[in-house]
Amino acid sequence: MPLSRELRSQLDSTCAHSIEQLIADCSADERAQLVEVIADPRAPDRRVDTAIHVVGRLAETDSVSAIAGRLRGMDERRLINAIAALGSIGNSRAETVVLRYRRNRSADVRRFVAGALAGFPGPRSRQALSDMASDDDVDFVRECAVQALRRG
Amino acid sequence: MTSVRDAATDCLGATTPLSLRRDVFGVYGDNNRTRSLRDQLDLILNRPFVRLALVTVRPAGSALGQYVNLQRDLDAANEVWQSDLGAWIYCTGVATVASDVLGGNGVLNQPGCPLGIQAAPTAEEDALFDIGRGLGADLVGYYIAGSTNPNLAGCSAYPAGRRGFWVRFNATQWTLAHELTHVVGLTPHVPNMPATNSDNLMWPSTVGWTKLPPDLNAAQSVGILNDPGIEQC
Repeated sequence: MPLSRELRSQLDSTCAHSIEQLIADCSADERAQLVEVIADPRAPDRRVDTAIHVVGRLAETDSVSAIAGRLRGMDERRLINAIAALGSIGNSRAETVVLRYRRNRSADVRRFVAGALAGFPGPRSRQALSDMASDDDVDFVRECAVQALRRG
Repeated sequence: MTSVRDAATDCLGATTPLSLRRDVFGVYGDNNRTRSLRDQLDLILNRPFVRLALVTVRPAGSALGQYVNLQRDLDAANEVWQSDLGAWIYCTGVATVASDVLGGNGVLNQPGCPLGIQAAPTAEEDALFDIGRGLGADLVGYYIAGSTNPNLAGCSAYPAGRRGFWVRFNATQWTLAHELTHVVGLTPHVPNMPATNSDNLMWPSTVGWTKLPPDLNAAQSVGILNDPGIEQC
């Protein structure tokens, strides 16, 4: 399914309200196109990142495999976006992917892992958050884990 | 004829001793340009204005100071507002904060960006929008490293009762004006069509303007000038 011109324009916007509009009006066809963008190895990183953000906000469960396939090689900023999206999607497959990053060497990635794990109600995430809250060697990561446990 | 001192104290609420640069011009950084005291006095006495404070947020331990393009962005915003609204932006103060409020990389956890009030702000949004509230303005702009979505140049969603917006470091010089104008008057984007809308400040992409400086139209002006944050001497 080719990417429509309007959807491409919205994905390439740098202003948040354009993306909010896309989320508010997103059709089933556009959701499918977003997943295709994420899976497309030729798609520009910026467009992929915004597509990941949008499917996360839409809790589009069909996108988890495509997101998981893009994580390798992402820099810290892009990884944070993807982890936040997976946390918003909130299903078991997304949880498994997020849990892989709980010991990432970047404290900021771990900070967002803690936030994402709040979206998964099961015992695996709660145990991981408890471990992060007590064992992580960075203050703000431990604090995020504590906050996530309170929200979960 | 009203003196500069009287204008600054009576109209802007500045207190003595006055700094011409800060209290009268509202200038807090370097941006090589000539500033006319006569023109500034005319603005203070005769033109509507909004008060704005600006905060640079750096990670804890950072030795980097105020955002280098702060004054450039403020001058750009004033250029658009003075040209198309006949109004101006008075910067009441600036601050640079080094804090782990946004973790170690300064990236804000912000899932969504509605126009206006963020109904359920994250803990990080809550903490960020508390900063700079004592700088003399109801409206505070923050320079940060960005948000969860790595492509956003800025966002104008704010927790209730704390009007403000953020702009990413190294965004284009018109981005501050764009985000500020989202907050003042709750000005929405112009539609993607017709193509000439890309001349407007509220074009959805903050890198795609086709005529610089970007414009504001008459309908937008009415909304902005009716904002409760707009004052006049």
